[in-house]
Amino acid sequence: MKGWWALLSKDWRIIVRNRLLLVILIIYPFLIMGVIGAAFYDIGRPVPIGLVNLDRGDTGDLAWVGGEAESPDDMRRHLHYRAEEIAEFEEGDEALAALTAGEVDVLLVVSRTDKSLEWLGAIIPQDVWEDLLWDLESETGVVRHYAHAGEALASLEEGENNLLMALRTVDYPYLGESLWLEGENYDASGLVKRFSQDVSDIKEYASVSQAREDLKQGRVDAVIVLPRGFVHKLKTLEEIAYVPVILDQSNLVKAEFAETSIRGFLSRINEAVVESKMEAVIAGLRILVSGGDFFGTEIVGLAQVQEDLERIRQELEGRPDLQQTVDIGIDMADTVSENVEEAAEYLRATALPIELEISSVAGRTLSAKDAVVPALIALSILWTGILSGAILMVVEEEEGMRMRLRLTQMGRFALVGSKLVLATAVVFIQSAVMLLIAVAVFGAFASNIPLALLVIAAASFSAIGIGLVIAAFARQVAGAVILSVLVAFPLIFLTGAVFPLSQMPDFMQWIARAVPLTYAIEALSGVMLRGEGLVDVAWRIGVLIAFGVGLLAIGSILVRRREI
Amino acid sequence: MISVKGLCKEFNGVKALRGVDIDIEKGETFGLIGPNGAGKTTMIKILTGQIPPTEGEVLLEGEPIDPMEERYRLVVGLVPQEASFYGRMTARENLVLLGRLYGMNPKEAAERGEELISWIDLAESGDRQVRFFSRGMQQRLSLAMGLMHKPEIIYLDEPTSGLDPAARNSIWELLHRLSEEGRSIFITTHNMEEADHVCSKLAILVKGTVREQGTPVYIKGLLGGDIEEVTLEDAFLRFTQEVGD
Repeated sequence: MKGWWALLSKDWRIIVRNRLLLVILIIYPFLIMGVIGAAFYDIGRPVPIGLVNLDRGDTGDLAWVGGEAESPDDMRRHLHYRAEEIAEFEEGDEALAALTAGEVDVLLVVSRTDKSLEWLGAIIPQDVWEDLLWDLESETGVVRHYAHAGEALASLEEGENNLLMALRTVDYPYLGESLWLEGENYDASGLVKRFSQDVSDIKEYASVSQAREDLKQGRVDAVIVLPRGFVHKLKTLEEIAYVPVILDQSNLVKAEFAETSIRGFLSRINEAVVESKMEAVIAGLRILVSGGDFFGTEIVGLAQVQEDLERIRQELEGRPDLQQTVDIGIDMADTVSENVEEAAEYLRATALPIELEISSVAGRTLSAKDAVVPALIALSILWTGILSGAILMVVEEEEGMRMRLRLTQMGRFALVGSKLVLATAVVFIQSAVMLLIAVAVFGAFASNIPLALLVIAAASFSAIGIGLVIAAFARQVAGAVILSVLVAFPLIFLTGAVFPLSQMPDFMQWIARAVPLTYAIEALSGVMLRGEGLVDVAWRIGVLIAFGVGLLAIGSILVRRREI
Repeated sequence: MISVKGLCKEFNGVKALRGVDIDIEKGETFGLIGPNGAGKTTMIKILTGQIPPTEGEVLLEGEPIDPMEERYRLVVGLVPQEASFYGRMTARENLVLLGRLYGMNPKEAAERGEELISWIDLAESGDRQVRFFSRGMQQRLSLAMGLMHKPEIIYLDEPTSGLDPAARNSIWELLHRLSEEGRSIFITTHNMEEADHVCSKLAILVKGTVREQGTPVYIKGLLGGDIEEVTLEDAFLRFTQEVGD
């Protein structure tokens, strides 16, 4: 081992005295992994969601609904059919004044192909509101609600809608209703806020346009619009409440997070509503048996009927034929009581048949911060390993020292071996420090640190092997750096550190299997997060070492071929 | 001291050397001159054990020896044509490192380094990183590095190429001193003034064969005429053109 220390200290001096190498090999990995780590540190924060509640009683005197119909004339025909009287207006102001003054009950605004507007007013009976709104929905598919005339009319101007209906909020039957749920009374936005706690950070807007603007500016990640009648539909369950959601799909990850969050809390609202409805139905069924107040009506109850029949039966003593008839009645009442009880149980069981029970293979709940550490360490190994392997191997070539060193007593094994030792030490110590900082300072979880260090050592060796192969194609440090970055960059995406391997096409998965760092990430997450032992990861450590040996052999052959 | 017999080297069917015979005596400064592509660098590579010859043999003190083996490599020193040192290490660090790699202990390496650094007159700049040295200082250091392990023969591949006259003279001065100490020197050069001034014996290598060899006076004498007026450059042009024709 004579001379090895001199070779090691020579290469170490070259690294620390070269600012570029010092930054690339030692400082940059800490910086970049720190930045990525910081980005994931607090992931799972509430997603900022914009909320526009159009199901409110205080948004103005008029309510606006609109949509885009294939044939606006059909809607005009519906209005004629439902209305007692129809009035045509030349000007919008005139029409709105008539609606506000109560001269008409509803306005239909039709946008013609030349963008001019046709204003129709109608007097309609109170009980056809629902039908008229249903007509609009069936003609347009999706009904959009607006809180202000300006916003509603702008939707015609922009071609978003070609039909609008305006009506007085006092006449609109389901505005600003509230829902009694889990012991509290909620309006539409209260309901969303209650069920989106923890997953979303709700920011309320007065209008869709304001919310949409903030979405464009990135102040919220999605906008959810609670339409008029939202709470009413939840209460009655007569119709599905369609909830418009606007996403910013220019950033797919952001859109995905936002959609998942919104789906999550809407599903919780659905569940709570269905559950409470089911509780009411079950309670109602039981009242049919026991008797009592059933939605404001006093019910006698089957139990009382049975008691009465028993009493009648006793009074009919001596009349077995009549008693027999009464017995049939008692039996029937018994059967119905039992059936009702069974139905109640059945409803309870089937109301929400599935409930998740999530557990972690780690035996504890892991945060994104925990999960990202193995990937970060593997990426750091990949980066520093490839670069240090490639750079150290071309130092002699660049400094013109290769021929001189070959004349010394140090054999090829010592010349290459000392570089391998130094590169492995640099990568290993760097990754180990990173791991210890993650655990000790940032509280990341790692169940088996000594085994993780063993995996890190094996992974370092294989990454350096890639660097050795690269070195065969470079004669200068700068060239080695460029080639290494060119190789490392695509490999980062192939390791499963950025995208899950299972989501890649089959051929990409095969390619990923040929990248040693894929095994490093799997082994590191195994020993750090899934509580795996040496037996579980031994084969992956073996694969990493085999990759290292293979790459070292290939690199040596390529370098030797270049020399001759 | 070192002899070469019938040395041939072929690269992918191209003959770089075609049976070269030369003898380098102890204390002699042997110059190998020749046009570009004549095979000078190939000769140095074979003589320093970096590549094996295709045919022929190298003899050390009359005994055949494989230039690739360690026993031979330790008696030869090398000053490559291109810059050859660690630019981010100081002159002293470069010298001590080589000493360590030649098996000296840290004390021996430091003492030998100090001796050489004074010899090349770089004692004051010895703790500066070499990349900040002038080309002449770098070449002096390169020469010292080649001498670190006290080789019996030192090979210099165009040692003054690209140096200004002052730096060139200082290298020549060092080579003269080496020669006086009895060290064998083998130089390849394009510079006829250098060949005439420094070398005690010359070989003209043309297309892989030695066209002529002998003292500078003998080579010039081959042209005939007044020896005072004939230059080595005349002889070089004559012999290289003859083969070219």
